[in-house]
Amino acid sequence: MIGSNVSTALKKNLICLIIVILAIIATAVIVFDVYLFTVMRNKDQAKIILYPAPSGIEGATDIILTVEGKPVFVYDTAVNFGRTFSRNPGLEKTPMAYFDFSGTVNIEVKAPGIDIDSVIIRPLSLGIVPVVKGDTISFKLERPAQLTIEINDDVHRAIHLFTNPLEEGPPEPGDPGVHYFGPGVHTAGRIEVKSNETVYIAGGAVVYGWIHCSSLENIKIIGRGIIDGSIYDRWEDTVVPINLFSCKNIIVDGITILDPAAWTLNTYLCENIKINNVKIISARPNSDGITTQSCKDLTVTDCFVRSWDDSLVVKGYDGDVKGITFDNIIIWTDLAQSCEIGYETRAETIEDIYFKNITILHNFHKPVMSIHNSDNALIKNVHYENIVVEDAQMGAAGDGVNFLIDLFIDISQWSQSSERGNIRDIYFDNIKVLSGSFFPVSRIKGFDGNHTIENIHINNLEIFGELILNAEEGKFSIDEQNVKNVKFSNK
Amino acid sequence: MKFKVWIIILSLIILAGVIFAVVFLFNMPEAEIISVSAGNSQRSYVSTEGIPQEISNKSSTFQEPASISGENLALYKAVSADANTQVYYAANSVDGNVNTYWEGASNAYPNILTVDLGEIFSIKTIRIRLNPNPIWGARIQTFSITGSLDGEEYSTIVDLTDYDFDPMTANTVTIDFNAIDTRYVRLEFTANSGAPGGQVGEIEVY
Repeated sequence: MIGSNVSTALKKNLICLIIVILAIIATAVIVFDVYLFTVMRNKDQAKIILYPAPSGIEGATDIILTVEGKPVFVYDTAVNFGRTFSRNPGLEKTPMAYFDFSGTVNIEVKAPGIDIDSVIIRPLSLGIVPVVKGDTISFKLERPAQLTIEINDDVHRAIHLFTNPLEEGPPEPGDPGVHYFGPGVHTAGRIEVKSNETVYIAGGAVVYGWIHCSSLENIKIIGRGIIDGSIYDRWEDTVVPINLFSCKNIIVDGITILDPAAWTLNTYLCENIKINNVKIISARPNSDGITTQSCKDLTVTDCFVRSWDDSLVVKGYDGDVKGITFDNIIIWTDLAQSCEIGYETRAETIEDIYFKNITILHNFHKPVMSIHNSDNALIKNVHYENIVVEDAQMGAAGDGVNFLIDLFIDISQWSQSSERGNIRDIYFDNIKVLSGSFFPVSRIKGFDGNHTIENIHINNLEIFGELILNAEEGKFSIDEQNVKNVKFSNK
Repeated sequence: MKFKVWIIILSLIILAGVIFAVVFLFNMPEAEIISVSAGNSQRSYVSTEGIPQEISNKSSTFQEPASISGENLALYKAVSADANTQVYYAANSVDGNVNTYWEGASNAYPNILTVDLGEIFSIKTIRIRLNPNPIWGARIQTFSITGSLDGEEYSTIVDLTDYDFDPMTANTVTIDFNAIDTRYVRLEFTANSGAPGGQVGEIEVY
């Protein structure tokens, strides 16, 4: 009897245990179901738009790129690692691809036959850690981004991948007031645009041509396709792909501009200009990225600029400059400066200029942040905020200058005014240099007692992990006679 | 008895939950991939009247002007202008490429373009061409033609005249006149209905 009692008690306990385990499993299943029902259900379905390879365009042959298993055409476009300012500057090519998506997508990059030891995906702030297997890299993207993929620490043939958000209401062929360029190659020459018209360059289109607008209003230059300047000669044709003179209310959105034969996107004496999600890769002499001269109310957002001359540049040719904002820009500077005000500063005032949320993937030549006042302007209220330099190679090639920050008032080869100007109220906030060949220096230099630089606020400057709290730590050379009130802080 | 009921209820809950999860996961929408077709490689443009039309993007379908007998004496010769709009240099007007052009300074008439034929020739036809791509649209340009033997004293070859440039007629204007000896040929623009300055894709002299 006693034995049987023990066995019954054991049985009872066992059944209790089974019930507890079942209850735990049931709870887990219910929690999982609730998670599926609430979180996963609301997750957007990924949508991907792929564009066809334009016939006649030779793509890159050493890179195969797929998204969700579907191939994406890889262009091969000119870049320039050299320093020769000539008609034949010794160009190289680099792969570039683009598509549009929403949701989360899986991307695979294959470099057939290459033993991939290391991969850097920039900007580093994306935090992408790719999976590498043999010659294939795979990673996820949760939102559209402009990025470069460098294999085995080599910047040559870095893959430029530009993923765009989905287009909202693109025009249809034949829509009134629309210059429509469908997928394919178009040798358009000058695209003549009138006020209130739209130039639409569809994904998959490659347009050899240029848009020069003079005294026009309400124009949109939009789409997902490419304006390509590679067929034009830098010296004889010198065509600027987008050149806006005295225009108002202009939108440039979504397109890519490759290998321009001169400056890339220029605005002169313009007002209310919005440039968004424009991707630029330039290679030949004087191919500055986004140039703005004597403009007011101009904003540049979400752009990628790789250039073989100043990447972002503000000039004052003969009208005042006010209200220029560059926000969320990725830069790769092969030659000259990354974020420049100057050299032409012939306006009376150049003011309210913002360079915000800018990542410089590489700068191989001259200052990252510079104000070169070589004419008569008063340059004031300039803000450099949240600037990250991932790879500082300024001056490393033996030319250029090893400057992070360069502010000066002086005569230069571009000076036209006999009068010198002033610089006031310049703010540097959250500036980080992550790595580089050697510690970049900085310079602040006025002209004389009447032409000075005053009120420079440097807050939270970090170079190679070191917080910089004085001129000595940051290797700043400051002309004490003509420069007043330089403050370092850490707020 | 009570225990059995609990076991059955919990097992059913687990079964139902697992079935739900499996069905849900299998019905998760896959990525929607849209491949834009290359077939839509058309181009449409805005005509001067604002009526959209479609054209082929092949330049071979553009209107070509009739050929003129004789040699184009202006081709690759020295050319100069009093000024030009940004990159639209005078040299573009004698480079044999009708797509590159000279454009005079904006709203600063007269715009003057001068070709030096290198030596004195007897000439009787001048042809002015603009890009025949219909995207250019029609325009009227007003200019005079003068000639000079020495580059200093110019005399009239054709008085100030309005000329119609129209892509439908190859955006080309052919001007015939009595044969005249000249070394320098000068165009002096006073108006252009299609741009703020005089424009010349090619100037051809025969």
